[in-house]
Amino acid sequence: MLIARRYSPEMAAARELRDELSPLLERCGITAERVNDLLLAVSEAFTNIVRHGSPRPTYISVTLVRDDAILRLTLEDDGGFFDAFEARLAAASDPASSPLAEGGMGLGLIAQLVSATDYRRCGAVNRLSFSEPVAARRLPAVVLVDDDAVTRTLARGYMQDDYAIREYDDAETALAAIAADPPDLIISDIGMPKMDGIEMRTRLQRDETTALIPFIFLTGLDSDQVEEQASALEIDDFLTKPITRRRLVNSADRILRRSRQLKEALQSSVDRRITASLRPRLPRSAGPWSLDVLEQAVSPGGGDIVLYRSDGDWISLILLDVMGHGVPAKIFAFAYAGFVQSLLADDRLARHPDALIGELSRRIGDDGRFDETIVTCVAACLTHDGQAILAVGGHPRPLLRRGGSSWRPVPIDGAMPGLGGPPPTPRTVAMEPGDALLLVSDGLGETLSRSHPETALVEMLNAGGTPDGRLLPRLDTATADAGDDRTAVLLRFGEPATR
Amino acid sequence: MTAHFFSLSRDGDGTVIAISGAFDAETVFDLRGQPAMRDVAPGTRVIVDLSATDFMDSSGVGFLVSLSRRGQREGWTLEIVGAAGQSQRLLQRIGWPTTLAS
Repeated sequence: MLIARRYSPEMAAARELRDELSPLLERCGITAERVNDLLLAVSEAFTNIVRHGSPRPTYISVTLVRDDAILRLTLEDDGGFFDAFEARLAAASDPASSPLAEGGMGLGLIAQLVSATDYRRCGAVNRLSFSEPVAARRLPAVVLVDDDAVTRTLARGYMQDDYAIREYDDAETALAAIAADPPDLIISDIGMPKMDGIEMRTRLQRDETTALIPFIFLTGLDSDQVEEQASALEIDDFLTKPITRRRLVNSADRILRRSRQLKEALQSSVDRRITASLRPRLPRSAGPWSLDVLEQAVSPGGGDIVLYRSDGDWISLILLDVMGHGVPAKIFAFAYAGFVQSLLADDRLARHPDALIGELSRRIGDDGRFDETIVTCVAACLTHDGQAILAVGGHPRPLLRRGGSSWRPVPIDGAMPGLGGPPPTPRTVAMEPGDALLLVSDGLGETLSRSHPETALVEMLNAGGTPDGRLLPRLDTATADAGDDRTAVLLRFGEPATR
Repeated sequence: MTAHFFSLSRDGDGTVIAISGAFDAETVFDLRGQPAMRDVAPGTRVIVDLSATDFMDSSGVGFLVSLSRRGQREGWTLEIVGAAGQSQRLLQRIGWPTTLAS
């Protein structure tokens, strides 16, 4: 994924979007003119949503994904759906049907500028996708070093369909080229004038940037002594001439596959360790409050984080949902954990959830390192005398159950952190013994209903009886098919903890 | 980050609107609020200079269309100069004449 960001549904954000997309599109192997066409098309679409979305969306998220030979640019928003959009787009695709006018030309431009569009309602969001063919996927780069032109020609003929071959007839030139642009695989002869293959391999091993590049010797020096000497240099294969196509290609494929496996395993290991470190660790109780938590991390990507701080007669906690996929997103979640924990160290922020989210929002907006992440959150400060001060930032609303009545959303709202604007408005709830609050990540409600997650969750909770220690296990069972991380924190006032 | 701004100046019997950066909905919104855009004397010219414009969208085109129609009604002339790159391609794509005299 090249970009995944949420934008505020404002005209000014269209410029921000263009500024961010432009360099990314330029690196995708499409012409400058096509970059401009796509920027214009996405700008028209963005402006159209801002101007005409009814109800007006609260956000527009943009993702840019390169999938082999297709570049896919997607805009998602939670505003009103444009009926018959594709039919109108088709009608507007004829330039003759779009005369010069003061308005209404955007659709025609989109139709003329974009190779393929797709518009549909997906759960609670509208999804508009543009597809653009791009240059074919990158072939693995292979450096081939041999002073014999016949061998180079033969090897190139064997491999050029699946690999990008870079040929060199001497080791010194090859070393410089490898240092300047490391390939995925090096295939080298041994017996060469000036510098031989053994010396070249030795030098590559001394440089940490080239030492781990997979390496194959392809030589006519077929003796036990040479093979022994070469094997001591931590190579991946030792092939002898004459070589068959099958043998050479099989060796290259196997070695590159193994290299990818090792890299992925390393990434997976990093991911597991970080995921474990992000697992919520809440105290079972804080004064008259009991705290129960349901946590299920199913994705290798972003993640839910629960952080807290207690001090004397209050406890402050925040549930963050860091969106994204892959190890980089998990690392961002890890970074957020440290970042927010440091904010909680400030008494004023810890005791005022609105100020905490406001400060988090300000820092995210100011710090370019978080530009590619999307985070939502809900924060609460619970005092021992029964006050619950709540604030949300683009996150599902907390749910409240008073005594024997039903669960209801706390009427509260706040923009996703990092979008600018004022801090969220807090709401203070005076809790009575037996009252309960539930903070949830979006994965829970969306498992029950993509279109009305909050309603579905409330209905499920209200069908389940009292909010005792069995509530979270019931939630766990009901949402077990989630494809997303699920986190719920049950906060009960004047009730014993159940863990 | 691209800088976006415009300037309004007098040039003989004409009003010059020079647009730098984006000629988009934001720019159009700001331009429409300019007092100089409200009263254009008959017989004069309005010159839109796009030589420093690096991006134009349908809002920019729509603004030019509205200026052109106003000129026809009010008796003044619209000229577009300096279009290059993306803005030139867009004007060509939609069939806008290189110089439009109203």
